Amino acid sequence: MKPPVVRARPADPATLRPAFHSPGSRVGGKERRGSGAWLPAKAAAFGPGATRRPRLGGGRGGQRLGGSSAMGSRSSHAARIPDVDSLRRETGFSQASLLRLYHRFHALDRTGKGYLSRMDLQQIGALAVNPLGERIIDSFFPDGSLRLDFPGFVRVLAHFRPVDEEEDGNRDPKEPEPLNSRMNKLRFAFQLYDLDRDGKISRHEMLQVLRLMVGVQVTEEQLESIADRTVQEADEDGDGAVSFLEFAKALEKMNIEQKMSIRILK
Amino acid sequence: WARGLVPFGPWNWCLLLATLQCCEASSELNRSTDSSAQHELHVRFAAASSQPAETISVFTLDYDYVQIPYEVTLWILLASLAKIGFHLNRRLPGLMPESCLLILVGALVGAVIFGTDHKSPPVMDSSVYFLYLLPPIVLESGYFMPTRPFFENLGSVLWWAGLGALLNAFGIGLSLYLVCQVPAFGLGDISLLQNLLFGSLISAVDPVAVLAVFEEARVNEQLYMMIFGEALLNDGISVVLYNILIAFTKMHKYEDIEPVDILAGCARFIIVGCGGVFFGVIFGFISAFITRFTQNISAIEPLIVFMFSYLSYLVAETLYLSGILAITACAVTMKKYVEENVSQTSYTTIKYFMKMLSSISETLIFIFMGVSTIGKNHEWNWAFICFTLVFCQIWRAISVFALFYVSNQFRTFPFSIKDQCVIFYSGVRGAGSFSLAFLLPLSLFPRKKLFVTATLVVIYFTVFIQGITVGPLVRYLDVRKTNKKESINEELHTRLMDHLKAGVEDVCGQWSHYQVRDKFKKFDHKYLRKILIRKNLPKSSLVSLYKKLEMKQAIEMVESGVLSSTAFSAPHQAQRTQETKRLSPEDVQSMRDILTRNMYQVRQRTLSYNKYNLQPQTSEKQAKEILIRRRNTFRESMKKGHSLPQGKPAGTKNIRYLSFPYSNPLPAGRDMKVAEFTDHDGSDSELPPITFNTHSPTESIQERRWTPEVIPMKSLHRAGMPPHFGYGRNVSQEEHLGRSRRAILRPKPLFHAVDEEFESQEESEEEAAAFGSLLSAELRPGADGNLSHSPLLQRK
Repeated sequence: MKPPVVRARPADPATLRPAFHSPGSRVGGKERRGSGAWLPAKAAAFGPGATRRPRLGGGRGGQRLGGSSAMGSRSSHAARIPDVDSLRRETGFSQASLLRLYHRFHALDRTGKGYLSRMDLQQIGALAVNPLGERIIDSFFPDGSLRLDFPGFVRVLAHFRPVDEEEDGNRDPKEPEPLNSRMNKLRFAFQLYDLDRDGKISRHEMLQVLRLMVGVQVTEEQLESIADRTVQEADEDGDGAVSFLEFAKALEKMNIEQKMSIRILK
Repeated sequence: WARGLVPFGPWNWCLLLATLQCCEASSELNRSTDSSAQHELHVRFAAASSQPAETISVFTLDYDYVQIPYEVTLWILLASLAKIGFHLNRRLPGLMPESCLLILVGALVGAVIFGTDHKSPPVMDSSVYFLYLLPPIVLESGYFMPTRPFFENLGSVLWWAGLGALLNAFGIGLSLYLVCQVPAFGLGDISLLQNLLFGSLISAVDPVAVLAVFEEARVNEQLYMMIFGEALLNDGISVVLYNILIAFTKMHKYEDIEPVDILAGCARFIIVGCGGVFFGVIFGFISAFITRFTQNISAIEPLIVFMFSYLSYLVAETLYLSGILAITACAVTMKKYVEENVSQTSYTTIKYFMKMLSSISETLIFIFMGVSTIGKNHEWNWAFICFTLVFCQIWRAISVFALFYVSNQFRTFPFSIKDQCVIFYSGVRGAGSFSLAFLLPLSLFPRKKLFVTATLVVIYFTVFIQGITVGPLVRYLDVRKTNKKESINEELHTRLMDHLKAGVEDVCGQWSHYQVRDKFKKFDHKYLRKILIRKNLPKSSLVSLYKKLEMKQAIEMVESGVLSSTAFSAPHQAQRTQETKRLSPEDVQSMRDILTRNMYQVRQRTLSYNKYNLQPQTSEKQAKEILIRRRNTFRESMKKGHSLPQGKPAGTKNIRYLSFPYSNPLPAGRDMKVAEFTDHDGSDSELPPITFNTHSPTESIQERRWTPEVIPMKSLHRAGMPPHFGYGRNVSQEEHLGRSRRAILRPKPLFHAVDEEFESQEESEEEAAAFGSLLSAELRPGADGNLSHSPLLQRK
């Protein structure tokens, strides 16, 4: 029998139901409450009890999924996330966010195999019509791997966590740069261009991206000259390609922190 | 504006003046005839009988007979021509909201009428406004409301729109009453009730004009919905309050108001509101049910929609309930089902007709506003008008910051101070306030002129000053780079990051579910849809239609040469010529223009809404284009027998669009997928799960006949496909290649679209598949209506 896939049901921003979700400040029960009811989709369709909201189960370890979900083999408990603490430290996500991502991860994993494949991501409709959809999916599968496990998933998304100013100030300089730093955000964008991973955006790579992003009205000649120009503009050492430093320099005036942050990923 | 109008100006003026001359003449004529034939009932006969009775007149002029429709038609034409001019100008629409234009046209007409001493026809009176002019406006905004974000933010919207209107009304009313107590201002005769009434009508904001700015600035969805919800509900609440207060004022004239009456008034407020919504929902369901049976007489479908909405309004008004809320609720309820039932042409008709009716109503109101601006019926009181203006702003600020402070406590993603500032600033008053002020009964309000003047001042102030400056404000607060001197790099990378962000957001999904919505969805699938939605054609025809469409488009693409220019150009690197010549600034500029104009837009979750126009659906076209291009890249790489040069088969993974088997999936596979299909995420409009299935050979062979191309396994494996089709999981890449070559020869792995039937049961219509919406755009009659509302490909 297939394990039921747990559906994420985080707090709605608009409900008047109290959502005490302040990232990072609370653990365990409180956050569970804030993130709403998590129900196994199938179970919800069966018993009336299954649609009940889960009760708060006494702090960190003792939470159980509420209701009579006979098939709740994969409960929504945060502690089920492997290495939750180290993941939190590494990515900076709050526990509630991790939990949401965990549910999203399993919702995307339709067949319940425990990892995500490209197919799973390709099923996302909006991504299919995103001109960069394939590149974005590629960026979830670094080094040509075929499987995306949960830590990997979270690590990629951590690039898009909004930059927290106070957190930034308190950071220990000896620690490695957090994943959501400006440089890491830039690097993430950079690797969308840099297909062959040689640390440079060649003219050809630039052209490919342009081709993806520009409508069919523009002729190939125009595109090529634009690609030439783009490389030329950023290329400082004259090697006909844009290195990461040149890339960062070209964008130095831009508010990358804002551009590459997703509000919900706290 | 003036520039825009120039081409039409002279012509219009001539027409208008001619008209006015005519009516001068005719009224002269009438005056003389009235004396001679006083007992004639109809003016028309009077005009005719002014001639000697024994001869038939060869030429008669009877302007009075046609005066009202004639002038109304001219007004609307004038306004339409002005709009054309307005939009011909490239810069103007970005500069000011369209309501500015309408008001200016109204003022122009008013000036002409005033200048020629003509009396404008009595188009606007209480019954005309409430029975004919108001319903279309409300219906339109209810019908075009983006349903999903509205209900996701329902709590905040109700809290803000409902309480905000009340707080504003009472706040402004009470503070003005205090001002009136100052003897120096000469306002002592305005009672508390009259002040409250004025407060209720002046608090009816109409921020739709601001929405256009928001859309351009891409503010977040919540903010957008707050403004939209306010526009939607505010009218209803203000009108209910207005009517209750009018009733109180009437009562007050004859007897004293006791506390019981006030309580009764409060209870009435609630009953009027809820009752209206109740009737609206009922009528919405009835009309949805009826459209289920109209497949053979589709011409009647728009009629059903309009008549039932209007009926809900009338029924509610008969029972002294809020017709506005009824018609809004009716539109919201039926929209979802009606759209699935009616044919594509009817759907288009409904959309355009709705826009047309509401824009007629609004034009008339604005023109009336202009007409009554210029005239002698004003009473100017500095104190009252200035304090009105100030209190409007103060109370809006108070209500915004107080109400959002409270609601932020309950929200996961609170509204920032910036958001609140924008909401505060978007308090633009519009046609609603003016109409309510204009319709005040003079017998109860001796200072009506003062009220009208004050309302006009507030409207002019908010529409012109706030309406024009809100755009720059939003941009300023948004800290968006408006610097036009972006380099091409920045331009390109910015867009790339936007796409990237949108894509990653889609991967994360929308995090705003809650139980009520899910329960409703279940209920909807279980009962409502079964009752209200037409039984659909067999799904296989849908599939075949999709195939047809796909072929057609592929052929078109090839013919237009797109394919050859995009898909064959991959190995161009070899021919690369080193051009190092410096480009002139003009060239760079033109490149930037090309990029700005032709780069794909980032998908928007919120539907774009424009009160005055239906937007052409660029996003839909764009989605189609992207899908087709991807498929083509894939095909090309397939033909060449290798994937893209970089070893990263960027285009090869979208095989799921390529082939669409004809037969239904195996029942077992289907059940399994029902079990798997758990993503109820409303936001990201999942593709219907098209998964690989292992099939019995017979069926596969049969399918093969329908599928022009068999998918090469190689590219699948290269693309990192999971071993869904029975291969071992840890087979090495080489083995894969070898096997897949063989696999080409056998028709085993094929693709399946999951049957739409179950899709429509499991998913709400908002989650319709991307490709489904593409389909439904063109193949609506046959398509499952379920596919029509994808938020992704906004059709509105």
